[in-house]
Amino acid sequence: MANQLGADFSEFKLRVNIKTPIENVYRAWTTPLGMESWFIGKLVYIDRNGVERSKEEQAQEGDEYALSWHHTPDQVGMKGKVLKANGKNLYSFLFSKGFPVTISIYTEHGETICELIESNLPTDEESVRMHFVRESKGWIFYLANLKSVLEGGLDLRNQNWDIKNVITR
Amino acid sequence: MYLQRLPRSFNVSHEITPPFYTDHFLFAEELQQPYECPEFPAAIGLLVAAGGECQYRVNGTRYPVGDGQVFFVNRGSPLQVRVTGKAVMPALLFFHSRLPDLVQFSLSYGGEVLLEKPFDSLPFDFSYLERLHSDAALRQSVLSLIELGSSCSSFASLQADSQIRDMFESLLMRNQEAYKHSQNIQAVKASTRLEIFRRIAAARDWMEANYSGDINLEKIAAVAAMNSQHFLRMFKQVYSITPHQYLIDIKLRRAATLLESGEVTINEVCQAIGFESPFSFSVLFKRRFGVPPSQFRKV
Repeated sequence: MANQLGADFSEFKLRVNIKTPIENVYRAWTTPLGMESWFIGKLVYIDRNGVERSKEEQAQEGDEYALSWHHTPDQVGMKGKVLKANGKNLYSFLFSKGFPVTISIYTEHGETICELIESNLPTDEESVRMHFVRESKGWIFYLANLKSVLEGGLDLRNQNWDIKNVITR
Repeated sequence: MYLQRLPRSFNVSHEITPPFYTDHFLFAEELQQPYECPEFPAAIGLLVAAGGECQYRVNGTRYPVGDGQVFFVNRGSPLQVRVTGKAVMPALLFFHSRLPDLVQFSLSYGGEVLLEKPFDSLPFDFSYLERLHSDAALRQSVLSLIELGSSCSSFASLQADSQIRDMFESLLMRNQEAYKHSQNIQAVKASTRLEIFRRIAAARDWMEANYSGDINLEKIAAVAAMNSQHFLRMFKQVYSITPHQYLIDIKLRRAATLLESGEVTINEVCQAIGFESPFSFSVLFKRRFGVPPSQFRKV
């Protein structure tokens, strides 16, 4: 839904260029091992039969996931569902309060682009501040970290738990 | 979760029903001058204070809430906040208005049934939780939300939401447990049963917080505002053990936690939990956990 200025707060799109093959980016999103190397914390994918996938196994459509915050790895912080996983370059899942996040991976000018769209966000003033602003800020750091980890192996996430209130986790 | 300063009034339009919160709202502010807000019908929430004591008046009764304490307020209960001290920070966390029922429903019926059952029997009754709880960890958890609410950490608001959900699940399980225990009370009227339960539960919380000090039946009964013999009977009715047995159990559970940390001697454990004789401690510990303290630590 567009507001008077024409801005659409019901979704946001973020793109990051990464010098790595498409399959590496896809794996970084769809395997627990990949996600844990750059994202929030521990991640588990559960298949349709309720069986936990291995760390290297790729998530499939219909899987559910459980994500833990780094400081409480034994506690589930967020649950969601995998909406699409084509095994190549398209991956979509429910995030936050059930908002769909779609990851498209493609090539542009010789580099791999990872494009993230979070959609169906509520557009009242409070929700825009909460979801459009805060969640896009969260994704910006993590997408930068994805690039850093995949290109050079440098993990930008804060590892010093005494330090709080920093964008790096 | 939204973090907001304390408003002049929580009920500007003088509604007689509790406000409908479309998300979790945490009202917190370090006050530099006295604060008082008019009485309003509360939503389900947790009331704490930092930096001193805060007076919360709930259902006409004044509850001073301070260190290590949390007041659970039920939906619709008239609430008034009053702070006279400087640098005191009241913190009122009101849950998303639909969350309590949804979590309660999912805890009661589980995922599969949840999809089939309509929500026609909502809202559930949370009155068994409405009292002052001595729970330093819960209080700390509420206060830590203030930092998360104003944090620039990536996805801090999602972290806050997940912390609130965990907090609420644990409170609801306590509510269910409390309801079960309250049914042991032989009282004709449900309101009498609820009142007796609240007093006994408050005394039990007090024992949990003060177990290592010099406490006796009279002191515990005073917390419940009951005569000691009446309190003893009621406590046994509710929890099926005597207050003394319960106190010993608190000490033994605490001892087990200390032993698990592996950094204290058995004498130090005895001192920490208020046991004078290491011998009787060992005997009781073995009876409770099946192994003597020395072996428990090795395991």
